[in-house]
Amino acid sequence: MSTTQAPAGPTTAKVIPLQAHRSAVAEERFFLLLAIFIGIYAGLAVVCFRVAIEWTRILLLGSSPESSGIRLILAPAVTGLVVAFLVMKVFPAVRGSGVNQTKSALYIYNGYIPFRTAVGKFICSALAIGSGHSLGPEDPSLQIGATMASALGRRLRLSREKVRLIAPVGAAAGLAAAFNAPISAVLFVIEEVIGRWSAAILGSIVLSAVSSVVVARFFLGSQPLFRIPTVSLISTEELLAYTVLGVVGGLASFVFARLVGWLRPKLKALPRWTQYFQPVAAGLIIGLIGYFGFPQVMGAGYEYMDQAMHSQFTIQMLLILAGLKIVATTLSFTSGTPGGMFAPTLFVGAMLGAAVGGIEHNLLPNLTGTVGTYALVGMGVLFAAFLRAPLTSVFMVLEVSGNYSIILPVIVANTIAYLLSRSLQPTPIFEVLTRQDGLMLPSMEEQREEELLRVEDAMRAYSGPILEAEELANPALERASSSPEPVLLARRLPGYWYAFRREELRSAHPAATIVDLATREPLPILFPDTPLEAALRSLRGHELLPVLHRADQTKIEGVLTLELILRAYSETSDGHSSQPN
Amino acid sequence: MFAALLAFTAVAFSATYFITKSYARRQDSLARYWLQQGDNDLRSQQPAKAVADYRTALLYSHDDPAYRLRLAQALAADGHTSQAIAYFLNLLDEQPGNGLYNLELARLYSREGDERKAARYYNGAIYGAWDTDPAVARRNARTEFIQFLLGRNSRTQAQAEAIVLASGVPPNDVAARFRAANLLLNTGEYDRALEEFSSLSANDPIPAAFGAGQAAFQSGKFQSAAKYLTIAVSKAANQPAQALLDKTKQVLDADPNRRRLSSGERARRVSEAFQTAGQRLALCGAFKNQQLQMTVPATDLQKLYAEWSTVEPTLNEHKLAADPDLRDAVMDLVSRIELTTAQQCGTPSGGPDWALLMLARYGEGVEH
Repeated sequence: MSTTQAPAGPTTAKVIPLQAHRSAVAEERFFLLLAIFIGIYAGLAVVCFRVAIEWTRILLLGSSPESSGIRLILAPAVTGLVVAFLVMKVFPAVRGSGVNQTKSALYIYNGYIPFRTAVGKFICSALAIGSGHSLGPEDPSLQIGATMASALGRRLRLSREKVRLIAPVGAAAGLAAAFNAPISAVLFVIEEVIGRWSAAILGSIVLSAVSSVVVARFFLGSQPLFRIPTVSLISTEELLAYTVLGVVGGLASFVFARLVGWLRPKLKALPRWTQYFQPVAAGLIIGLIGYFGFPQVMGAGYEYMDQAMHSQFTIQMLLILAGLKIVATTLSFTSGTPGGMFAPTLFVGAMLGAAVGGIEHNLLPNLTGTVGTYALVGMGVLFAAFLRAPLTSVFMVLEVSGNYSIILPVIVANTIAYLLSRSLQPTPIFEVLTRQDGLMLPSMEEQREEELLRVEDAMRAYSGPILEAEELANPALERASSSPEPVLLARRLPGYWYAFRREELRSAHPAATIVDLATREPLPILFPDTPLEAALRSLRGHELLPVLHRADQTKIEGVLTLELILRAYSETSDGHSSQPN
Repeated sequence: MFAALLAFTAVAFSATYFITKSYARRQDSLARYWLQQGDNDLRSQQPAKAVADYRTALLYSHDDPAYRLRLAQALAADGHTSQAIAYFLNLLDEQPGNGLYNLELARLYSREGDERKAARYYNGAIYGAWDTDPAVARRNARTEFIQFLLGRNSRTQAQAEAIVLASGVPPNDVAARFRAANLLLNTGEYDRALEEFSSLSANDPIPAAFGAGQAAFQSGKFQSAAKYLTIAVSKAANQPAQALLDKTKQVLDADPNRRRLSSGERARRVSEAFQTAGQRLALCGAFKNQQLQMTVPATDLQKLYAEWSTVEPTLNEHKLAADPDLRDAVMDLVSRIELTTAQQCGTPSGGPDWALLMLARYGEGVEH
């Protein structure tokens, strides 16, 4: 331990950190500015992506979704073959939804995503979704945004740390433009990609999300993805009705996740040549579903979510569509066809919500919530339970509906669905997929719930005397003669504490007081609620630190040493490892 | 570097603008095509197909309220009331004062039997904004509202609306004035209806006379009714007017208080009315299975019969001719008998009983 103060360095020694600081501030500012550009580029890319999907749909399936015909069967199957060829031969990194790929870039590849991934994702997803594969454009938009941001960061030669952080900025922009909902996009990226609130990046994410939404609205208009029905909650007793929806949503998401988790490795295990034909087979089955009377399950299906919200389907039809959408999406996704899971999840949620609402209205005609309200809540329910993003799910519904009177049903139903889904399937779907791919990315859900150790969990009582400022060194030493503490603590003013070894006091001039000896920097101060991780950093260069009372910083609550910290961590990990799985 | 970013932004923006504009043009043409298809289907009475067409049109023109209006109207025509309501409510959210949306919603809620909401949206239509000819549109909306109120027996409110409607009709719009006068007649505002029809006699005398005749008849002004109805049937055959004129004459012939009658004739009419009422009372008693001759009368019919049988032995035309008070007392008894029997045994469809009932109903209000 070193309690002696390091001599002040020469003046030049202080100039270098200042320049470094200025440089860091400049890079921070530039990063914020860059976030706006990233938002604009991602917004433009997503606008083009949406247009490409629509154009492909018109070309391949015809201008009317009601039009039936043999091309309902042929288009997804033939396009499946083209997409499979592109994925196998040209763009191998574009498989999957895009969320895990972005996380991989952040945690494994230091933010590096090759630009061709964006090109491939754009082309393959537009073809797949436009031809009727049951996938959505949101997750690909997220990946396109992240890829563009990563490419831009590298092109501008940003520091490695910034390049690593820039992918989530682009991801938020892409998702925000696709959803037309900036808050939900920001929350999703924090909740599911970064996993924690980081001040270093939050501002950039918000700026990029907002600028991308502005661009998307400029080109595509500001209308929401669906017409929002009249939503209201007149009686709080009706929350009970929404709990039923939470339970149904939780069970449905369990089935959905299990199906995806079961089929994907089975198909991946098949010989490589079959991967050319898996999207074809998936497309053929989906085409047949569409041909035989359920074209609603083809593509993203936003127009049908809109119709479900406005009571345009019978209860039987809603249940059939929810079931078929789960099957169709499982087939499309597990066959390796690039495309997202968000829109299908919302689709299933809307159908189940409307069905539950319809059944409850039949049983309890006095319910005031419209079927549309249930459909809207149902979307949030599936989002919370299947994608395991509870906070995003609540804000997504609020942002999409623009109505805060719906918040109670959303929170109640989403929480129930989330908890039920967690208990039935402890591993979230995105994590299941990464494990199947042989990657070990941090689990955001586990990170959120990780126990945070604090100073109070590690500190012990101080058994030595507290030396006072005006006290002479020698009497003070005598007072401490029976104390086992290796270091003696002295207080000068509230919050100003010093540590002395016995040798220091012994070698002091006989007339020297404690304050005369306290010439170095005071000790860093800790409080009982300080995170242990932060305390560990403060402990550097000190053998022992006092833990003070927050209201009275002349009062000592205990002391902390490196050994105590290690013991606390050790005990925690022992406790975790002894927990049953 | 910043300049390079700006330049790239400009290029990317222009490219996206070009792409979205091209797509927007394609969308426009598809939207128009499907709108036309929908219109054709709606014209050929195929609202279900029209709904599908309009939905497709809306895929390519989300924002256009005209498209959503067409879809909502097609949904309403196809019987999807709640869906149509959802569309109209969304449209109304965007243009809260739109008269047409309010009127369509009023019709849909009326169809659903939600009177409170129907009335609310009818009022919204009456006071709402209309793109073309707002005064006429508002009058039409009010007319529809009055008919809605009449259909729900809200006569008092319908009368009030009819009065407002009539007062707002421009004097030179004869057709509108006729419609307003008819509404006054239908809502029971007979005196105002009579006034309106009378004032219209210069413009179109025959229909005006028929309307005035009806209004006069309904307000108990049988002599005026006879006068107007005679005009109504004078130029051309008018079956309803002729039938009403015959009935009016029947009432006038039964009225003993009509002006310029001799006391003998008055006595004869009172005596005849007394006998008619007695027969009506006996028939009603039989219909209700009631024994009318009771020592202690208990029911209304028995009490009336007791009164009637007390008067009957001493009553003759000489006494009636000589005593106006007796004529009044007897006619009072006749009126009470007719009103009570109408209440207990149903309104007679015609004949002397019906004429006496008319006189009894209008009582003092009868124009002599």
